[in-house]
Amino acid sequence: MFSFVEDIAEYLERFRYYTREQWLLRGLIIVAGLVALVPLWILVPTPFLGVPAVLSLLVAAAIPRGHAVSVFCVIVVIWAIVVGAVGPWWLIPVAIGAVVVHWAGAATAVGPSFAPVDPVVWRKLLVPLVIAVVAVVVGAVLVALLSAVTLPASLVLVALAVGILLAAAGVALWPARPR
Amino acid sequence: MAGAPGQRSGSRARFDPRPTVAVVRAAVMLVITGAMAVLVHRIELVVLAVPFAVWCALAVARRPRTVTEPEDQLSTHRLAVGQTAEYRLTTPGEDMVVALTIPRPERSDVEPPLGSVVGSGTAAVRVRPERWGRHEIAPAETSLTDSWGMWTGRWSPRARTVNVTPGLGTPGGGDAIPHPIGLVGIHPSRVRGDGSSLAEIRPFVSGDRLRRINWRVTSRTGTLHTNATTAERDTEVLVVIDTLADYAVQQQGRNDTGGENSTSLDISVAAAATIADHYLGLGDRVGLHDLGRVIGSIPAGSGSRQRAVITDRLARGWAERASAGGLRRTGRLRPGSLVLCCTPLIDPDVVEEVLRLLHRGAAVLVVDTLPPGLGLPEVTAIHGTGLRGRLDDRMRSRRFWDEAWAIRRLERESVVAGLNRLGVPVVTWQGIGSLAQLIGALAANRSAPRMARH
Repeated sequence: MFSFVEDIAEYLERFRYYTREQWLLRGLIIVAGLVALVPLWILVPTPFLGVPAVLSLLVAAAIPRGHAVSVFCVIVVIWAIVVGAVGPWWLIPVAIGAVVVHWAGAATAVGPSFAPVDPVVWRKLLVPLVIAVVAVVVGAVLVALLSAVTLPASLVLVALAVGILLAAAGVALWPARPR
Repeated sequence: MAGAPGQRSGSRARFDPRPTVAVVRAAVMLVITGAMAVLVHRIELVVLAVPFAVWCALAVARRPRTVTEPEDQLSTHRLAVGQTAEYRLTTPGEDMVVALTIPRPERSDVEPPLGSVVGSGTAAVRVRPERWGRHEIAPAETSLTDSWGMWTGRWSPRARTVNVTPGLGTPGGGDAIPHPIGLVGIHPSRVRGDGSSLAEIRPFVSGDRLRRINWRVTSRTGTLHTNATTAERDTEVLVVIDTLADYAVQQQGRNDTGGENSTSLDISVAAAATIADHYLGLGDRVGLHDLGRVIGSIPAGSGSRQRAVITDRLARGWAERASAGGLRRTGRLRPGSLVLCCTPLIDPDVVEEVLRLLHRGAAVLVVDTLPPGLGLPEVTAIHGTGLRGRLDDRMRSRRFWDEAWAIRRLERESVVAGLNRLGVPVVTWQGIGSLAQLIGALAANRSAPRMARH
């Protein structure tokens, strides 16, 4: 029992050494997560998804380095499926919120939580986030255009696109062989 | 050769970049969102999939094609107490984020305070040793990440050693020597001879040099008088260091400034370095003998080279080897040598060795290096006040440690008194100035009848 309390005290002690950037990133995770959840709550206010989503968001803010952030993103996707057909515009804040949470979780892992970070590092890390956010808007426009076209073969097109994306993911995950 | 100054030690892992957690997450999200879009026939879910697809595409585009081994370097391998060495890790390109962590080496301070820093292309941590001797700077496993956070790898920097020279006391302290025994030097000898120090004015005798005639006295007395001078000699100084044990007031906040937080070993080494530097500056031959196995012994020598040898040997000392092994007796010693023994006078073998040196004809002086705060009454007082303070005092470990040291210090007083009776002065180290008066007194009494020794 005494050891357990000591472990908790030691864990809490670690937070004292976090840098300002680490706290800001954790705050950003919570804010961006709420931005992603608010449209979904407005559309389908179900506590069965809302409570796990908020809990997973808090866990992601506490432990952003691992796959706690992934759990939150998966819940967001499931909730988006439950929402039903609402058009792509409602999903823009959801996607941006999810990708910001994803980026902030990655940014906290750039080094030890107590290490001061060169500002240049933050500027370079922002580049993929900016590209991804632009991609969300472009993707929403494309989806809006595609959804206007009624094609029986659209399902095949989507399946084809997903297949290509899966292949791309496989290439990305394949371990590089440095020369 | 592992462990030598400036040499590298330890093995290192090969830098092998892998996708970061963020890339894996992006791929997982892409797969889940894409699959759901197909399964539930919802094309708008592609909006959620697009940013993660872009993330994966960027990761593929930025996959490292070649291995970029970083370079680690230490700004210096030798420094003095209080000076700073910088450990820097640099990648060939600016496109990598370096997270360097150096766990605080024992008896050292690091900057940034927790020894960790993240930089773009390069990262540096400064280490400031607070104690003399050999220090190992062993960085923890370092992470190298692509600047967009897509790929990461672990890399083990090599451990380096730095040698830290002890701080020297303030210069000064006189040049008196009890028994000058050399041929040339600056110390006035007991015998008359060529020199610059006036010994007496005596009548001229055949063989005296004409240029030494004192014309003022000659004209006043009417007979030829000449100035007699003392010969000027050097001597051999042996500095004996007791490294058989290391006694400390407290474990934290150590330094080797001779203050209350110093250990006996710190004070001994600082005293030895200052004494050696002082007498080498006077042109004497200085040797060093280590009674333990921390520093090793150095034969007597003179000049700047000997100063460099002694400083280097002290800088390479392993303080952790204190209290390892028994006493190593001093070797050959010229009668009349001045022996300064830096010891806390705790080990009876060391006291016996001091007496042995005395019986071999050396002028022995003991420099007391027991930390001043160890076992003093004010330190042994109750540490806290009030009920809480008394309770904490009862619960603390080694509760009677200070009292035990106070008793030990009282026992030591009898040893000090015995040495004094035998003509071996014991002086607490407070800088070279504290020794000057004592050695001067030894020199003044050198012609006095010796006391009987038992």
